[in-house]
Amino acid sequence: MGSASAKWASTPHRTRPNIPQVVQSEDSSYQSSSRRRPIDPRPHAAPTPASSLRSAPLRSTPPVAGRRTASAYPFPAAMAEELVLDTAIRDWVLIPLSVVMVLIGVLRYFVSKLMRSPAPSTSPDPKHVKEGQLVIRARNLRTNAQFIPAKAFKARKVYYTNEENGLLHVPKEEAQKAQAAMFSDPNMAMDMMKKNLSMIVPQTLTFAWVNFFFSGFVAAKIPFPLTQRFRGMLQNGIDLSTVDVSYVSSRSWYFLNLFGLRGLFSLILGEENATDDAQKMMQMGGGFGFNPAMSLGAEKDSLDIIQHDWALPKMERHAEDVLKKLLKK
Amino acid sequence: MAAPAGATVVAATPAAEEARLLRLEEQAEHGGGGAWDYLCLARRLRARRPAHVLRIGLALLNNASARSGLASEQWTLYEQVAVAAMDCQRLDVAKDCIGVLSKQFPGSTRVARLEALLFEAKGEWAEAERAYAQILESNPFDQIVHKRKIAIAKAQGDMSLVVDYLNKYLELFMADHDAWRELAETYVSLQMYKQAAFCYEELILAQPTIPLYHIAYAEVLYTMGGLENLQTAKKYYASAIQLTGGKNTRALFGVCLCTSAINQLTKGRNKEEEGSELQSLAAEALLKDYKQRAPSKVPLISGMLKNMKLS
Repeated sequence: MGSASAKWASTPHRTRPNIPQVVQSEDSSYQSSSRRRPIDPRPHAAPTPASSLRSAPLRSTPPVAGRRTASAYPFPAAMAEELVLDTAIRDWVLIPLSVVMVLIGVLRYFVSKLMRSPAPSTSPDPKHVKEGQLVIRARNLRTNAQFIPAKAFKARKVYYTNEENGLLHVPKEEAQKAQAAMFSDPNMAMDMMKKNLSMIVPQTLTFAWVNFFFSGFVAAKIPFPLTQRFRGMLQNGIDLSTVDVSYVSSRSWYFLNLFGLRGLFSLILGEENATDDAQKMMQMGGGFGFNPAMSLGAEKDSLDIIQHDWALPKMERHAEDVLKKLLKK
Repeated sequence: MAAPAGATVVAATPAAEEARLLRLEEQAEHGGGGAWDYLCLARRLRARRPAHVLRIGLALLNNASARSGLASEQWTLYEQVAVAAMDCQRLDVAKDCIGVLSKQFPGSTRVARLEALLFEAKGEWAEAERAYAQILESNPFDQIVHKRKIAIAKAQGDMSLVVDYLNKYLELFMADHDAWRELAETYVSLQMYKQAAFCYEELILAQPTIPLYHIAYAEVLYTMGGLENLQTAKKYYASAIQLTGGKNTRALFGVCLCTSAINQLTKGRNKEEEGSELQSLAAEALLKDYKQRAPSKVPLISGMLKNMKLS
C-alpha cells in the first residue's frame, strides 16, 4: 500500500491543481476529452450520463491498478484526498438540487392545501360526542359513588347498565357493525389516499428525477472527517469503499434535503405547514385507536361490579372531630 | 434563587392571581402602564369587570401606536372590548369593535357569535335566535352557542323553555357540570326539588370535594322534608362541615335545623340518633363564631338555639 501511495502522490496532476476536473489517473480518457465532465470517480465508466446510473465498484475495474502495482487493492486512502470537486458541480448539481427540493416542498404544501380545502372540518358525529361524554359521566359515577345515597346510586346504575335500554349497553351486533363501518368508511379511506398521494407521488417523481440526472456525482464535501458508519448516509449511490466518507453523493444530498428542510419550510410556510413527513407517517400508523363501543362496554363492566359504600355516615363522625378541634382552639 | 421565583409564578394560586389582577387594574386605571398585562390577565381569569376592561381597553385601542404594537393580538383586544362594552350597554362601542372584526375576518364563526351577542344585548331576541341558529347550522356542536340560546330563554323569563333547552343540551354534553348546576338552580327556582336533587347528585359525582354542592343538595333535601330526607340532609351538612373545616356558617346552621326538624318529627320516640353530639358541637361552634365576629347578635343566636333545645 505504501508504495502505491507514493506512486499516486507523484502523479503529475498534483502540480496542476487549478484544473477543475477530478483527475483519476493519467490514462483516463477524460483528461483529453473535450467534454467537460464533472467528477466521476470511476475511471472506466462510459462518458454517457445514462450509464452513470449504475456505479460499479472501483475494485472491479482493476486494469489501471494492475498496470501500476501488483497489489490487489491498489487504491490507497490518499486517493480520497485527491478529489477536487468541480465548481460546475456546485453550480449545476448542488444548488439546483437544493432549490428544486425547496420549490417542490412549497408546491406540495399548496397542493395539499388545495386538496384539503373542499372539506374544511368535518363536524364530529353526534353519536361519538355523546359517547365520549357518557364515558366521562359513568366514570364519575364509578369513582365517586360513595358520595351519593344508595338509592340515588342504584337508580343511576340501572339507568346506565340495564340490558334493555341502558346508556352504556351496546348490543353485540351493533358493536361489530360499528367496527366494520369504521374500516369501510369511504371518507376515511379517501382522506388517507389524498394524504398519501400528496406525499408519495412527488417524492417518487423527484427521486426518479434525481436518480436519472444526478446519480453518481460526488456533490459536496463536508468540512470534517466522519467514521465509516456514515458512508451509507452520505454516499448513497456510490459503492466505493475508498472514497473518503466526508464526500456527499448527490443522491444522499437529495435525502438530506428531503428530511432536513423541515425547519426551512416552517420558516417559509408558517409553523403548521403540511410537509411534515415524519408526522404524517406516524399518523398513518395510528388513527384506528379509539373504539367507543369498546370503552362503553368496559365502563359498563366496571360499573356492574362496584359495591356501593356510602361515605356520608362516616363523614358525620369526621365532622364531629373537626368541630371539636375547632372549638378547642 | 431564580428557580423558586419561577416556581411561584407557575404555582400562583387563584387568590394570588386575583390580587395581581386588582393591583394591575389600579395601576392601569391611573395611567401607570401595564394595561395590556391587565387585560390579558382578566381574559385568562375570565374575570367579569366590564367597566374597567372597557375603559382601559378602549384607551389602548384609541392609541394607534399602542394598538399597532399589539400586532395580531389587537383583534383579541377588539373582541374583549366588544364584550365588555355590551356588558356596560355601550352598544355603540361594541358595534364599532364588531364592525372592525367582521371586516378583518369575514365569515368567521367567532365574529358571528359576537354579532348575535350584540342582538342579545339590544334585546332583539328573535334576531339573536336566528343568528345563533345560523351558526348552529354549520357547526351543530358549538357549546357556547347552545348555552347562549339557553341564556336567551332565561333572559326572557321563560323558565320551562330553559329547562327544556338545558335537558336537550345535557342529553348530548352530559359531562358539562356547569350546565348541571344551571339546571339544578332552575329546578329549585321552579320548586321542582326532586329533579333539583338529581342534578345536585350529578354535581357531587362530578366534583365531590366542593362543599357548596353538598350544602345545596342538603338544602334541597331539607326543603323536601320527610324523616329520611332530613337525616340525609344532616349528613351532607356534616360532610360540608368536614370539607370546610367548620368554617361554613350555613352548614352549621343546617345541622342545627335538621336536628330540630328530626326531633319534631320523631317527637322523642326514636332516639337512635341520641349518641351523636354533632348538633351540640355545631351550636357551640356557631356561638363561638358569632361571639368573635358579630357580638351584637349573640343574644339572637343563643335565643334561637334555645328554642331548638340545642344549648
